[in-house]
Order: sequence, then structure tokens, then C-alpha cells
Amino acid sequence: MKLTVFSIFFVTAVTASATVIAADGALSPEGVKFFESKIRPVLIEHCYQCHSAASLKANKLQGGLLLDTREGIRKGGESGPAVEPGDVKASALIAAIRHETFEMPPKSKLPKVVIDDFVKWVEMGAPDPRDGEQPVVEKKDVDIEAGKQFWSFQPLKNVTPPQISNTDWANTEIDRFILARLEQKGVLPNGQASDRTLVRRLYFDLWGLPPDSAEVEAFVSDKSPDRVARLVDRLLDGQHYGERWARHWLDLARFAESNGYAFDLDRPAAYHYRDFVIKALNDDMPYDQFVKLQVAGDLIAPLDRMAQAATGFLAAGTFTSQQTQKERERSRYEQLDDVVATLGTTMLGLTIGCARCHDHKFDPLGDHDYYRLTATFAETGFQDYDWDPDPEGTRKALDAFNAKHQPFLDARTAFEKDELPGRLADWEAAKTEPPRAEKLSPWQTIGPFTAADFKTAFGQKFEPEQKVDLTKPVGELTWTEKPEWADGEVHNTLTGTNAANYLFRVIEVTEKGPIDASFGCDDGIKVLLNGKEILSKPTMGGAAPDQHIVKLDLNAGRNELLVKIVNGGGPSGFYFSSKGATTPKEIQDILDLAAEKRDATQQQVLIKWFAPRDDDWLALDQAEKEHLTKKPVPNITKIFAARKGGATYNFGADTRKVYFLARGNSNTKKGLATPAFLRVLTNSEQQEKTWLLDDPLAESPVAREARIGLADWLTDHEYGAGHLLARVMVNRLWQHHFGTGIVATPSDFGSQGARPTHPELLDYLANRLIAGGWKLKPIHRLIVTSAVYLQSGDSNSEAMKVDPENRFLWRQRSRRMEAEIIRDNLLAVSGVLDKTMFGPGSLDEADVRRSVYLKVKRSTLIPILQLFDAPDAIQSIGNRDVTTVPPQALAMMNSPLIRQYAEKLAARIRAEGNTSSESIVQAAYQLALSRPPAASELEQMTGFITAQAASYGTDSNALNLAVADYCQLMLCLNEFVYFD
Amino acid sequence: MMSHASTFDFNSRRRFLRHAGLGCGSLALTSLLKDQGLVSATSAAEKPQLLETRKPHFEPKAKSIIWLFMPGSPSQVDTFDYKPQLQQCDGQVLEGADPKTGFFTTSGKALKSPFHFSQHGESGAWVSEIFPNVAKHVDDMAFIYSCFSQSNNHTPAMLEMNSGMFLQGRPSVGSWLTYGLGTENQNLPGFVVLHGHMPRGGKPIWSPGFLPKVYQPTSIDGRNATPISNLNRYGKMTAQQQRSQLDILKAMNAKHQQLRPHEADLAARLESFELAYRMQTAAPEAMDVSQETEETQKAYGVDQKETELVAKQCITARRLVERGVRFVQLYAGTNGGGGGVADVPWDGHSDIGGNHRIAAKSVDQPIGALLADLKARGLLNDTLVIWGGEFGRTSDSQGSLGRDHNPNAFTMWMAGGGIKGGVKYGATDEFGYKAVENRVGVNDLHATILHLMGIDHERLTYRFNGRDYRLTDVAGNLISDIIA
Repeated sequence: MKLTVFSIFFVTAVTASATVIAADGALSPEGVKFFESKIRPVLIEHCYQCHSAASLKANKLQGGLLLDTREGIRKGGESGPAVEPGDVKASALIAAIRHETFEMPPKSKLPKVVIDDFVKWVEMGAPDPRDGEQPVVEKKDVDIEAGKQFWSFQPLKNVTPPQISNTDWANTEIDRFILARLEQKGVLPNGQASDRTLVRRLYFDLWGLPPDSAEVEAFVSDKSPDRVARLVDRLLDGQHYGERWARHWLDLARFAESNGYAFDLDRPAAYHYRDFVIKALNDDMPYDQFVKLQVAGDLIAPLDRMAQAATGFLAAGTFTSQQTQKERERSRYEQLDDVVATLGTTMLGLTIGCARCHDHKFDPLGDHDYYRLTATFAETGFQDYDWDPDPEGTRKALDAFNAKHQPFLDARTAFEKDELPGRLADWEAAKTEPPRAEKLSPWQTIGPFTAADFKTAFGQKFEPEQKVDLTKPVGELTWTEKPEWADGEVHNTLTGTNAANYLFRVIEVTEKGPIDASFGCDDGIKVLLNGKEILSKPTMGGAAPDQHIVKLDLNAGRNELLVKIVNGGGPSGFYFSSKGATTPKEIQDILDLAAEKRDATQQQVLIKWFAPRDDDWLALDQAEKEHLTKKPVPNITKIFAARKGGATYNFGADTRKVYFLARGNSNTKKGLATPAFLRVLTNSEQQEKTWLLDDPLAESPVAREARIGLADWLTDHEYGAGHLLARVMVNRLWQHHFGTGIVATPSDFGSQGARPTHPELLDYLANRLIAGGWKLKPIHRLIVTSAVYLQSGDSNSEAMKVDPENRFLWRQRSRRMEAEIIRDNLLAVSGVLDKTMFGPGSLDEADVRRSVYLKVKRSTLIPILQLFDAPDAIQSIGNRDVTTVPPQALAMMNSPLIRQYAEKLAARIRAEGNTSSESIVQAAYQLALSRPPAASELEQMTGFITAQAASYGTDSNALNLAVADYCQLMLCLNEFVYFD
Repeated sequence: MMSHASTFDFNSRRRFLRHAGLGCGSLALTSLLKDQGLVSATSAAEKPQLLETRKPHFEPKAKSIIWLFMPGSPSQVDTFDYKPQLQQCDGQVLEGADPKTGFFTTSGKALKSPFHFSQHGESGAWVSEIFPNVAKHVDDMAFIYSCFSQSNNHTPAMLEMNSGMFLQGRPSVGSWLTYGLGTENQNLPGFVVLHGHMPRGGKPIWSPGFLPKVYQPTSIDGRNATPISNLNRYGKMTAQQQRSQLDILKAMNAKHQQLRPHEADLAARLESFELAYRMQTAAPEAMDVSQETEETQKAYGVDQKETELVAKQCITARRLVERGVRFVQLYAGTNGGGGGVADVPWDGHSDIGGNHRIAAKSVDQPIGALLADLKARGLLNDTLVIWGGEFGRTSDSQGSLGRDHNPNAFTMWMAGGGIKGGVKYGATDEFGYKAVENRVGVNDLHATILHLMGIDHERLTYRFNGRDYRLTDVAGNLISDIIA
């Protein structure tokens, strides 16, 4: 039966009537009639709501497409002409109503007959009497100049710290900005916090680790005025600073060590990026350089390890290893969007990603900006890069080796040219069997190995069957060479009853391939080739030729043949013979030709086949191969990084191109996008050319690497985005020192983001950053030695009335430690922290290195970190959530992991010689909270230990359990996971 | 006080969260939720919290949801979308069929369903022979025959079905609902995922995305003895001993908090230990299937090997919903082979009949019993039950007996809470290959589901990295024809 045509699929083309449209393009009456009866009513009913002058007026126009005039329908909208008269394929309208590109009308597909009518109409030449003029659909471009007036796009202001009246309070210029605002509001800031509070605050803030008791007591007893400054210097110089602050950056970089999605393949070489961030921060790498390397390190410094690793920033996004052909192009645009969006929010505090489907609704970013910026990554892919610390050395060593190696190659080549043809001719003249290419060593044998019965002897794997070592005796037995055992004869010289004898020989061959072997046996036989059993026959009877024919699939090089002959009783023996590989047909064909009739190629093929059958050639070949083993191996480190031309989704010719897309859809391309940067952050066209071109004044200037241009633009604070880059970064430093940034939305400096509470201070800090050569540590130092940072968290009822949210910073806040710091604190306090830095990390939450070294596998995130709001490494996170939920409490109360830390802490305290409840409690307070217990605390806690021990009754371990219960309680205290 | 656009810009989300920790709160959160219409003005004096019950935008039709997710995707033409034309044209070329529709390449030739179909109930809905128990409830169901998805690949499609987006990182519908409505029973999680073998894509498919982690589900592997981690006391510790520990902890934390009166989440953390202590009893009780009568257990199929796991999970789902859990998503189906694998059990690439017989067997009786049980207890009116996979399957064959993925057509059904029973919505073409009438995208499904729960999908927003996100992105039309 003929299948009815699907309503949803193509219809057979209807031949257009030639009469409907006159040669001069005038409308024929038939054409007009067809339009009026079949087309116009459908357009009115189903399309005009979103595609007409009326819809434009009502602000409901979609896709810039007007279908209510001839001009409009021919010109089309954002996706190109809706109707091309006579050309069904080029008519976007047809594809849309067939639901091939857009699905129009969106709610329900038109009936098949109607679609057929439209096709017919286009084929007729799309006769259309609607002469009306199409209203101009203005594609309103973003007003860049107006956009530049927004505060964050403005150049940095040169600000002088304001005058203040309470000069005693202020330590730094920062304090003058802060105090000036507070004085305006009539609020008094707090005084300096206690030394015990400060030492914990500084340690957790700068290192993310607790101070040890000695450090606390030294700081507390130090009364010199510069004690804070010295502590800050020491902490900023310490390696733990980089570990602590790298984590903040890794949140932004959505850093992970696996692909994500269904199969979540590992990226074992991705940790180099994490190490780069730690090192760069510890070395106080200038922030502009830090940014440049992450955007284009591979191009800026192709030989530098740090620079390669830095591009892990671009590479860190998710990647779907399993996908269908249809998804690839879309996935590529998603991948690029992830890069651009992450770069935007992280470095510039801009939601550039919003301009992908349409101009940004709120900020001066057009889709034009979006695609041109995206185009800077058009050629970029991500993969493991082989980094060689000394490529020059590697090259030299290789050159030297090659020079030494050449004679070996030459000798073999000369032999092939001068000697072999004669030998081949000699052999051909002699008309003997082809010489064997396989070299068989003489047999070695060991046995008999006797067992209780035949079956056992056959089945049992005696030592030679597990591993052959010709030099090693097995009990009384030793391997013996049997050169007298010629092939092709039965040898009945084996001994033993219910016993096995092993026979062994090596077969060497230059080319992989099978040969035929023939065995005979008395009684049973097993044959193993290269450790793999290929024959097993527990038969009984005498040995004779050709009882078992097997193929030996030989590898190129050395092959090991082990034969096990098992005898039940009486005489025992074996037979072996083998045939060389059958001459391949192509060789035989050449051999069948008379020598003078062979052409050069045939002669070459023949020589190649003949060569391994000649012992002298084999010796030369062996010598060459042996020398080849001395070839220098470069010291390669694999680094997961971005590369020009690196791996990505492959979908053919457009793989490394970026197009402008209508509504972000890769099925609706609007032309190739060329690299450029955000116009709102570009102050000089001239300068833009120098970012994009090598020599802009040259006659035909050469394009620079687009990513290098991007890096230069990003960090250019005079003409490019550098001023915003600096603002965003100093705000991030501020945010992590105070819990909230001067701009409270650290990754959104656009119009939807928060406004700075202290705009002058923000510009002051950004200017200081740039003037200080973009070094971050001086900014940290400036912030944490300020009175505003050092003040206490005390309440103040007056201030609470005016500024309950502490927006103007009249007190410091208590802060919950981040997940990693909670865990690091647990490790440090329980005494198990391993301070080893760098290198591959563990996926085991019970590992004892700092949390920044735990592996980030997207499908297997570390449970305890997840519990305390660690990000899931999918998107850039500038501001972690801080949630408080019962599962956290359950983990602290019940999880074996936390209990283990409590027990370790208990053991540590007791190992330090604390036996009384009092000393145990005192030691625990000192270790966990950096302070002695108050008298009431001491009393309550010792009381708890005593009562808890009693509750365990006669358990011999009662006291240990009670002390562990107590230590666990200490770890559950709010004071343990919050610092003031 | 605040414009709508800046509703969630209350001096950063972080501040909001810090103030809004569990068990306490601030005026700030209240006012911000008020702006969203999620809390009444009278509750301003109360203490709001992240998981506190919040008022919906309008009167909801359903209080909770049980979503029966069939990972790997059942075939529409072998379950509920009966196509006599397809039965007649077996082996013939399906003109226009795109062999690249799915993950592999299909033959382009029609493959009839190996199953017998019959009509059921007053509505006369067609159901294939593999769902005899589910078929009893067709008059309570609204079938949506015209669903489509954007992706033809399991993980992206599952992400889309749950979060509206085929990429990782967006919050799932359960997280959105918990964010919007809070939790009824503070001793239990508001959002629970029940699964056996971890479905393809793993936990990210039901992730809270950029929403606070407090909105992530508690996922429970039905095969494990201890369903929720850290619910059991460590070692030999008794309840009394833990109570002593917590009593002193409470006293110490309270003292610490008194000195820091403006730090709201210190109080929240204090309270969280008490809540955790209570959860140790409440959660195992809610999961304890053995408390059901033998008759009930039998009705679900607990006594049969093929149905035991899903039966227990369906009972658990009902017990959770009874106790105020807002959203339960159950990933169900025994791997039926024929192309299916453990993490996509319905994926009958090479033998749709063999695959679906086994997979359907494992869920049919439990689902039938669940619907009957919910109805008998008067829970069905308030409980929205949703059934479906992540996409559909091709009408042409893959190999000789299998079907490939098909994003262009699949069937979902909903029952209970606010659903008009016996409704047939939308249609595919005569071969079930592509949805052609009243097409329903995932955004439309989500808009409808939120609506039934009393939420306007256009008003439930969350700001992340400078953008106000919605579950339905910029789309979503209510399917009003299926709403009672």
C-alpha cells in the first residue's frame, strides 16, 4: 500500500503555472485571485498579530518582520527575506511554516493544504497586490555615548580623601572616606576589636587557617603599636595567603577538573590552573598581567608554563563529550557564550551574556558587541597541551641524536641497495622455499611436575605456567636447553606419570602475522602463546605428527611459545613443526614475473619482503632499533589549556568561525562576525586599531591575534576597559574583607546592579591599584590595617537606628567561614592538616590537605563542601550563598567524618599531657577558639565531660568517648564556624 | 519601597541570605517576599525564613506534586498515543522521516507497535496493553499528546525537562517551587528525589542551579538501607547522650548569639541543631513503608520482585506528600534491555517491545495503586501527579525492532490536583512522528505546573549574575484546556 504523505513533510513540488505572472512582472488576475483567496486570509488570521504595522505600533512586533505589505514580506526581518518569488528554498517563510527553522505559527502548525498553497504561491512568483509602504522598522542600536555616562563606565576620578573631624579614629586614607560618610549620618564607628579577635580575623581572612596557640599568645602579649602591621606583612608573605584567596578567584572561574554532563570525563591536567592562581597571588603578580595571561597566555608567552596554565580560565567550562551531530554547532555557541559570559562577569562585572539573543535590555551592550567579542575566541579550543620546560634543549638533543642515528639508517639503506638485490636474485635462481622470516630459538624444557592424577596434572598451573623464568629452578627442577629436538620429528623422551613437562621457545618475527603450527602429544597438551592459552586437549594416546593444527598469531618482535605435555602413564613425548607465513599474493605475483619485467615499485616491495629473511639485514635492522631506544624523551607536562586551533565541537567548515545570530539561534546566521571589543568601554578608535592590528598605519595591516588584542583592551585603563577592570577587582578584595562589597553586586556593575555605597573610595582604591603597578597585596594591606577593618563587632543602639544593615560600616560583621575554611579549620584544629602545596588533588573528603586541593569533579562534588554552600562549578560565582540548614547540623552531629576530627582532637589534647577535665577543656578552647574558657564555660564543660563519662557506665572506654563527645561539641559551636 | 526590578537586589543576595537563615529572619526578607506577592502583609511581624511556608500568588489547585519520571523515554506510540495508520504501514517507507532525528540513524521505515491497544474509561482513552493498571485511571488524567523538547540527547533533555534549559546550571522545577512556596513540614525536606540506579546526567539534572543550596532536593536511592545521610547517631551514642550534647551546645550558642544580637543567622544555626535532632525521628518514620498494611503493600506490588522497588518508592512518595513534602520526583523503570541501560532504562533502541514490557511491568501496578490510594485517601485533589520521559521515540525503526530518540513528539499525562480528567490535548500526525496540533514545549508544561501550584511563572524570578531568571525563561503558555 502506498503510504500517505505526511502532513508535516515536504510535498511534491507543484509546477507553477506560467500564466499567472506576466513577463513584465505585472500581476495576472489569476495570481491576485490566488493570493486573495488562499494567502491573505491566512496571513491575517495567523501572522499579523506579531508581524504587521499594527503589531509594530502595539510594540508587539517580533523579529523585525512585517508581513502585511509586499515590500515587507519580500524584505523580511532579522532572518532575511521571508519570500523570494519563485524560490521556495530561499523563502524563510516557507521553512518557518513547515517548522523547519522557526515554528510558525508558534501555537499550532498550519494544515498541510495551507502550507501547500503557500509553496504554490511562492512558485507562482508570489503575486502580491499589497502596495502599501512598509513602515520603517528601526533596529535601534544601543546608544553607546549615552551609555558611557553610567557611573561604572566613567573614567576613574582623581579623588582626595575627605576631611574628617575625628582624626584619632582613622588609620588610613580609607578610614577618611568611611568616617566622612558616617559623620554625615551622625553615626560613630566602633573602636578597635580585641587582639584575640583580631588575630583570628586576620588569620581566617588572609590565610583561611586558625592561628596556633603560640602565635595567638605572642600577638596578644605584644604591645608595640606596629604589631598589626607586622602580623599582616607576615600573613601576606605566607604561602597560605595564595591558597586562601585563590579559592575566591576559582569560584569566579567556575574552575573544575571534569567535563560535566552525563559522562563527566576527568581533566587530569586541569589542576595546573588552580596552581597558577595560587602562585600568581603569592608572587603578587600584577593584576593586569594576571588577567592578560588568563585570556591569552598561550599566545603571549608560548613557552611559559604559568602562561599556559593561566588559560585554564577560558578552558574551565563544561563540555558535553556525548552529543548528537545536530547539537554540535549549538554546543559550540554555548561554549563560547560560557567563555564570554564568565569573562564578562568575572573581570568586568558585566552581564555580557544578556546581549546574546537581543541587545542588552539595561546596559549599553548590543548583540553586535556580543558577537564581535565572541569572535575573538572563534579559533580557540581547549585541550591538554604538552608543555616542555626546555624546547630548545629538546631540539638540540634530538638533533644530536639524529646525527648519531643517521649512520644506522644509512648502513641499512646501503645494504638494501647494494647487497640485497643480489641475494634476492641468488635465492630466486636456487628456487628453494622462501627463507623463513621467523627465528625460532631451541626448545627449553622443565619437568616432570607430578600430581595425584592426570586430571589434576592437566588442570594445575605449575610455576612455569604462571611465569617462565629460564634462569630460575623450580624446586629440584631446572630448565634445560634441547637443541637436539629438531622440528618435524616425534620426540618420545619425556618422563613422569600423572605429570606435566613444559617446553618453551621464543619465536621472533619482524612483522605481525599468523603462521601455521602442528603439534602431536602423548598424552594431553596445552599450548600458550604469549601467555594466552590457544590449545587445550586432555587427550590420551601416543604422539604423532599433525594431531593438532593451530594458527600462531605472532606479534612483531618477540613471541613466547609454551607447550605443556601431560602424561597419564607409560611413555610420553611430542611433535612440533611449523610453516613460515604463506607468501602473500601480491608478493607471489611479483615473484612470478621475470626479474627484468618488474618495475621499480615492484622491486622495492619485493626487497622489503625479502629483507627480514636475510640475517645480515636483520642484524643491521636490530642495531638501528636498539639505537632508537636512546632517542631523548622530552620532559613533557600535560596542561589543560586554551589553544588557537585547540579541540572543540566539530561541525565542519564553520567550526572556527563566529556568526552574528538572530535571537542567539545558530540556525539563523546573519553574517560573519569579526573580532572587536565592547564599544562602551572603548574611548579611542585609533587605539582600538592598535589592539586589533599589528601596524595600523601600514598599507595592508595584518591582524593581531585577537585574544592578545582582547587582553590589551581589557587592561588598558586609559582607552579600554582597564578602569572598570580595576574597579571590579578592588571591590572583590573589599567584599571578601567585609562580607559585602562597596558595590554589593560584585559581578554586576551594570545598571541593574547595586550602586557603590562609597563611590569615591572605590575610585580611590582602583587608582591606587593601577598606580601601584596593579599589585594586590598593597591594597590588602591598606584595607586590613584600616580602622574600619580592625573595628569591633559591638552593637550600638544609636547606629542600629540609623543604619541597621551596616551599609556604612560602623561595625565589623561576624562571618560564617566558607565550606573550605570550615574543613581546613577542622583539619588544623584536630592536628591532621597536611600543608603540602600544589599538584593533583584528591576526590576523598577525608583527605588531609587543604580543601583548595580537593579535586573538583562536577558530578561528584565533595559532600561536606557542598553542604556548606561551595559552588557547583558550572557558572561564575562572585558571591556565595550562606545558608543554614538542618543537614549541616546533622553532619556535624552524626557524620563519621566530623566524629573522626573530634576524636583526633581528643587524642591530640590527651597526647599533650592533659588528663584532668579542666586541662582538657582549657586545651580544647585554646586550640579550637584561640582563647581560654570563661569560668562558667569551664564549669559547664567539665560538668558535661563528667556526666557524659558516667552515662557510658562501665564501658572501659567511657572517658575517651566522653572527651570525644565534648570535642565534637566544641566543633559544633557557632564560635567555631563564625569569626568576628 | 522597592521597584519590582530590584526586588532581589536587596543589597545583594548574600545579605538576604544572611538575614534569612532558617528559624529567624528580618523585616527585610518579609518585605522582599511581599513584593513578590508571596507573603501576606500580616506575616511581617513573624519570623520568615528561607524554607518557611510562603503564600502563593493565587489560590493553588494543588498542594504537592509527584512527578513520575521515566528516564530513557517511553515511546508515545507504544503507550498512550495510538496510531492505527502506523500499525497498517509497518515496514513501509515513512516519507520525509529524517533518519538523523535521534541519537543514531533510523531506517526511515515505519515500525508498528508490538502492543495491543484498547480504549478505557468513559473518556475512551487508548492505552497499550503494557499499562493495564494505569489504564484504570484514564478518566482522572489529562493526556498531552503534543509535547516536544529541544534536545535529542538524554542528559540535555533531562536538564530541559527539569529546568527548562538543556544546559547545566539552571534550577530544577522542584527547587523553584521550594523557593517560591517554602516547606510545609519543617522536619522534612521540601523537595525529595527518589531513584534507583542514578539516572543519566546524575545529580546535576535536579540541581538547584544558582538558587541557594537550601532548595536542593534530598535524593534517596531506594535500594539503600539508610535513605538520608547522617540521620543515624554515630557509634554507640544514645539519644539521651546526644541530647545532653545538644543542650549544652544550645546554651553556649545562645550565649554567643546574645553578644551579637544583629547577626541573625547565628540564631538560625542554633535552631538548625534542634531541627536536625527532630529530623532524626521524623524522616525515618516518613520513609518507613513497613508501617503500611499488608493489603496496601500488596496493592502497590511490594510483594513481587518486578515491582518491589517502585512500589516502595510510590508508597514513600505518598507518605511524604501526606506529611507536607511539596515536590517528590520519582525516577522509575527497571532496565528493560533492548538498548536500555541502567541509567536510561526506557531507552529501547534495538527492541522497543522487549524493553517496554519489562520497564512498564516495573511501574504499572505501583503507579495504578498510587493513583487509587491517593484517591481513596482524598489526597488526589491536592496532589498533582505527572508522568513522562524526557522526549519521545521515532515512529520509524532503528535496526529492525527498536526506536531512536525523538524530540518532536511525546506524550505526558497529568492527574489529580487541578487537572481536568479525561482530557486529550494536542495531537501528533497520523504516525505519531511529530506533534502538530497544540504543540506543548517544556516551558508550557512548567508554566502550567507552577500555575496549578498557585504561582504565576512570569512573577517567580531570581536574580543571578545581574539577570532576573525564570523557570520558563522568556516563554511558557498556560495549557488552560487541561485545568479543571
